[in-house]
Amino acid sequence: MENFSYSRPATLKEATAQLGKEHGKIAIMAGGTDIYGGEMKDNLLAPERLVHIKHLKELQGIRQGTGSLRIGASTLLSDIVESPVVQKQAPLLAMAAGKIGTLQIRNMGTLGGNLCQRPRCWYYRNNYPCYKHGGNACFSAIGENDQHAILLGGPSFIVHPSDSAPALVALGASARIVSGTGERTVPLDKFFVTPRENVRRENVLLPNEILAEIDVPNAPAGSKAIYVKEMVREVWDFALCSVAAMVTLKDGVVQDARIVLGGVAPVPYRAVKAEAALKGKTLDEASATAAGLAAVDGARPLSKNAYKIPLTQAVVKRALLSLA
Amino acid sequence: MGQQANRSGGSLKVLGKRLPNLDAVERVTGRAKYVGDIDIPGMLVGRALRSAQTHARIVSIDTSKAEALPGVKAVVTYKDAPKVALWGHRGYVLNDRVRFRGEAVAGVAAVDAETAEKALKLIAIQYEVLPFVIDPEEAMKATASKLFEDGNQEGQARILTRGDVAKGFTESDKVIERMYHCPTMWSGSLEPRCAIAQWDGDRLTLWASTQAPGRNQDNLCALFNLPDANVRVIASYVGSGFGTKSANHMDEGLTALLARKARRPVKLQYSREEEILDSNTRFETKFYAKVGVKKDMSLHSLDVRCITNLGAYHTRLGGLGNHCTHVYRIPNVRTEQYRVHTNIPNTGPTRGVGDPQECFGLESLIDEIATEMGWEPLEFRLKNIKRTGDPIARGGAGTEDGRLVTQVLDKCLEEGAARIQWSRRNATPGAGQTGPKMRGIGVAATERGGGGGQGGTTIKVFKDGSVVLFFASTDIGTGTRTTLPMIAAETMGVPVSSVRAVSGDTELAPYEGGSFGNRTLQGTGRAVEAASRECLRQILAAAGPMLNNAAPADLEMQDGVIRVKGQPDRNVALSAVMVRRGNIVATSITNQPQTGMDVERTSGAHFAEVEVDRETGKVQVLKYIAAHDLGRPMNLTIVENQLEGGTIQGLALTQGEEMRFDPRTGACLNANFLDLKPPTALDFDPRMLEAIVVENESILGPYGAKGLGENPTHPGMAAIANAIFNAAGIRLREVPFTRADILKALSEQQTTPGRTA
Repeated sequence: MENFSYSRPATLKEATAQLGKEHGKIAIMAGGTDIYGGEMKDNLLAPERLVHIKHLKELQGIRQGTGSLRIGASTLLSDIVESPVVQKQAPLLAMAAGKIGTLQIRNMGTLGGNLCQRPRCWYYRNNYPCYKHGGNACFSAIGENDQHAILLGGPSFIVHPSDSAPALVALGASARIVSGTGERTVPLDKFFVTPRENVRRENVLLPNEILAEIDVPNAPAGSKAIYVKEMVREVWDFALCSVAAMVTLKDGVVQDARIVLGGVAPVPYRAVKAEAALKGKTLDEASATAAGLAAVDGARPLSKNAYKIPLTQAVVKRALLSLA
Repeated sequence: MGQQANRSGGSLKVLGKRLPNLDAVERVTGRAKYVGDIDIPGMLVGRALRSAQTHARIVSIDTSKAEALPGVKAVVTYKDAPKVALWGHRGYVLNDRVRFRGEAVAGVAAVDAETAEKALKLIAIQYEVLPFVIDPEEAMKATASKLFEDGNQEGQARILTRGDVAKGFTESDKVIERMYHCPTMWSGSLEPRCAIAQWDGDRLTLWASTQAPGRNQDNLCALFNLPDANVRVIASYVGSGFGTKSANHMDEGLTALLARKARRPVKLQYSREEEILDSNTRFETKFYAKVGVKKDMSLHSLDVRCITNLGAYHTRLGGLGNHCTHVYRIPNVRTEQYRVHTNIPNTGPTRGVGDPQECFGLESLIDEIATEMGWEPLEFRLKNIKRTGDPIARGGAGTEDGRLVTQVLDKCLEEGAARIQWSRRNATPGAGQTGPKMRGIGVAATERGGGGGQGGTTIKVFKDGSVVLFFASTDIGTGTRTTLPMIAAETMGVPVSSVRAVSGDTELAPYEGGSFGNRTLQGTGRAVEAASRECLRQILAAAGPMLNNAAPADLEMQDGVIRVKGQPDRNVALSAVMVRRGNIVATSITNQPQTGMDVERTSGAHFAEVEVDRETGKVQVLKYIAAHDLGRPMNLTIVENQLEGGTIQGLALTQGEEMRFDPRTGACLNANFLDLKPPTALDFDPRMLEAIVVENESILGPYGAKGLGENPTHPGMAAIANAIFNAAGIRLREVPFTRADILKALSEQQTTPGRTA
C-alpha cells in the first residue's frame, strides 16, 4: 500500500469541499471493508487522500420520511438488518442486508459502501489492465469467467456484487447525491450504469459527489417479499446469483411484481419480462416457472457460466413460490 | 471401547482417557508465543520481492538504488544464494530464473516494513521472458517449454507391477476405463510461514514455524557449510503445517542470508497471498485407470497411469500412495506414475500427500465398476478388501512378500455402514425420488502406514519429582505436547500435571526429522515410553534403600508415590526420593521395531449421506461417518479432534480450495480466502459428522497406538462423489464439485434418453 493522507471532516459540507475532479485521486471511505481492506491493500487504488465519512452524523441513521424510510449512506449494515422499522417497512432490504459478507463485515460496512463497492472480478482484483483499470480489454471474456455476467455483459462482463442493491431497486428506492455545489436525487435503477454506458464505473457518481442518503418507499400494502442468494459457501461469499422478489397479491392473483437479479449482470438486473409474465396470473408452480424462464430471457453465457441460467431460473421460481 | 489394558496386563491409568490439550489455555488466551510473536532487540524486517513473470530468465538485477535507501540494511539476490539445493527441491534459496509467478527473486532487510517494501520497488530486474506451461500433459510433450535442462519430467516413470494386467483384462468379464482429475489445491495452513534468524559469529539460531526442525537444521548446515552443532532451530508453537512445513523452505534460508549480510537478526513473515502462492500446494493428479472384474465379484486386474503436476521445483513426492496395491486383493496390478514440472507454484507434501487424490480415483472407480455389474458397492468392497493375514508388499515393490497384520478395514466398513444405516441407500442410484432434492449414500475406503521411524527424547526428572520431556518433533495441532506427556505419566506412574513438554528444539533434544506422515506418536512415542521406563528404573533403584532395602522388582509407582507391591502402607513420595537422588536424566533413541514378515497399516472407511438439489446444483452433506483404525486411542478428545479436522479438510476439497490459473498468463487468480472458498464453520455442520474409533491394537506403537493425522483427509472426495451418484445418478470425476459441474451433468443426464443410472 502507498502512503496517503487521511482526513476526517467534521461535516458533509467539509467533506464535499475536499473532493476532486478525478476518480481515485481523492477517495471516499466509509466502512473501509472494500476500499481500504480490498482495493488499497491489493494496490488496485493508491489515492493521495482518503476522506473518511463514516462518522458524519448527517449520513447516519434511519428516519421516517413521507411514506418512506430515509437511510443515511453511512448507516451500518448490521443496524439495517436489526432495525425494527426496516424490518416492518422494507423487510426485503433487511433480508438482503443480512446476506452480505459476514457479521464482522456487516458491523464495519455501510449501506452506501455496499452500493458503491467495486466488482469482484478476479482479473480486476488481480490488477489486470482491463476496462475497469483504464485498459481496453475484458480478460474474463476468454478467461476464467464462471462468475461473470450472463445478462447485459459487454464490453466488460463484471457482475454487480451488491446484495442490498437488488432489494433497493425492487423497492423503488432513490439515491440522494450531494456535491459541493448542490444535490440531486436519482432513482436507484438509474443510479447503476451498464458497461455500455460507462465501462470504467458502475454508477453515476461523479468524483466530487457523495452518496448521502437512500430513500426507501414503504413496501406496498399487502406485498410480500423475499431475497434469495446462492453462494458457494454458506456465508462470506458473493452471489452466484440472487433475486429480490416482491409481489402484491389479491386473492392469489399477482397485481404487481418486482423481480431484480443480483450476480448475473453488471447492474442489479430488473427482470421486467418476468414481472410482466406474472401480472394477472395466479402465483403457482406454472406461473413461477414461467417467470423464471422469462427472467433469463436473452441471456448470453460465456464459456464457463452457462450454469447461471438454470440456477437463476430455479432461484426465481422458488423465491416466487415461497411468496404464494 | 474394550477394557483398556497395557501389554503387561495391568489397566491403564492415564492413556485412553479424555484430557484437554495441556497447552490449550496458553493457545486460546494468546499467551503462547508463535514465531510471529517473538521480538529480538535490533531485529530487522525482511521482505521478499516476487516475480510478476511466470517463466523467465533474469538477465540483470540492479539492487543499488534499494541498497542506497536509508534504513535498508541488506539486499540479497541469487548471487548471494549458496548453490545448495533445498530439501526435495530442484532450486536454491534464490534462483537466476523464475519458474512460477510469485517466486521470490530478491530479499530485503530494513529497519521497518515500510522501508523494506519501498526498497523492493527500487530493485530493477531485466527478464528474458520464456514461454510457460501449466498443464502437466502439455509439459510432457517434446515441444513444451522446458523448466530444466533435462526436461520437465522428474526422474523416470515409476512403474510397479504385480501379475500381468494385460492377461488379467483378457481374463476379466468386464473392463472399464475412466479418468479422475484433482486440480492443484491450497494446502490449508492458517499460520503463514514465519522465520527469525540470528547469527552469533558462525553460530545460527533460527526460530521457525516448522514441522521439521531437524530437517531445517540439516539444510541450514548444508547452505552455510556449518557443523550441526552450530545451528539451532526452535519451533515452539506451530499454527498448523499440514505437510507444507515438513521440510526446509526458501524463506528460512533467505532469512538467514539476510541476517548474515545485515549482521542483525531478521524476521520474515509471509502475507496470506505469499503463504498461498509460495508455501507448498497440494499437487494436481490426472488418474487414468482401467479395471477388470470377474463374474464371481472378484477384482482381477487394475492398470493405472497417473500424471502428477509437481509445479516448479518439487522432486521428492508426487507419486501414488498405496491404495492401488494395498486396499484390495487384486492379482494383476500395474501403476505407472509420471511426475512433471510446470510453471505453477511449487507443490509438496500436503495432508495425505497423494493419498486423497489416489483414493478419489480408486474408490470412484470401484463404485463405477460395481454399478456396471449391478453389484452392491459395499458388498463388493467387503468381498475384495485385504484382511489380516493376507499377503502384502513390504517395500515399494509390487511383490507381495509380507503378511498384513492388525488390519481392521472390514470392521471400519461394517461399523460405519451400521451407523449410517447403509440399507437406506437407493438400490437404483437416482431413482425413486420425487421433488428436486435427491438423497443418496456413498462409501469410500482408505489405508496408509501407521507412522513410526526413528524417534528420540530426553526426559529430565527434577529433584521435586516434576518432569520435563524434550523432543525435537513438533505439535502442529496434533496434540503431541499432550499425548507424549501422557505416555510418560502412564509409564512412570506420575500425574500428567507434573509432566511438561518442550518440543521442537534441536539443541535440547535428540535429532529427529520432524512431525509428518502419521509418525510422531509411534516414532517419538516409543522413545518416550523407553526413556520413561529408564527413569522409572532409576527412581525405583533409588527408592529401595528408603523402603527397608526393598528390591526394585518389588516396587511400583503410582501418582508419584513409590510403594511395595501388595503393601501400600510401605511407601515413599517421589519428591522424597528425588531430593536424595538429585536428578535423573534419560535419553532414548528408538528405531522402527523389526517385524519380520508382518506389515502393519492403518485403515478407515467414510460414509456420506448427501442431498443434491436438482435445480440449483447444491450439494449438502446431511450425515457423515468417519470410521478409523488408529490402534489403541491414547486420548479420545485429541483423536476425535484429528478425525473431525482431517475429515472436514478432505470435504473442503469437494467444495473449493482449487487454485485457479489464468490460461494466458499462468497467474493464480484466487490466492485469497474469499476466492479460494475454504469452508467456514457454517459449511459443514459439525453435528452431521460422527467419528468412530474401531477397536484395535498396534504391534508397533507405544501402548498399541497407531498414527492417525493423515488418513481422515483421504476418503472425503470419493465418499461424496459416490453419494452424489447414489443420490442423482450423475458421476463427477473432477473436484471440486461445482454448481456448473453438477448442473451440466444433470442436464446431460436428461438429454440422454435410456441412460440408466
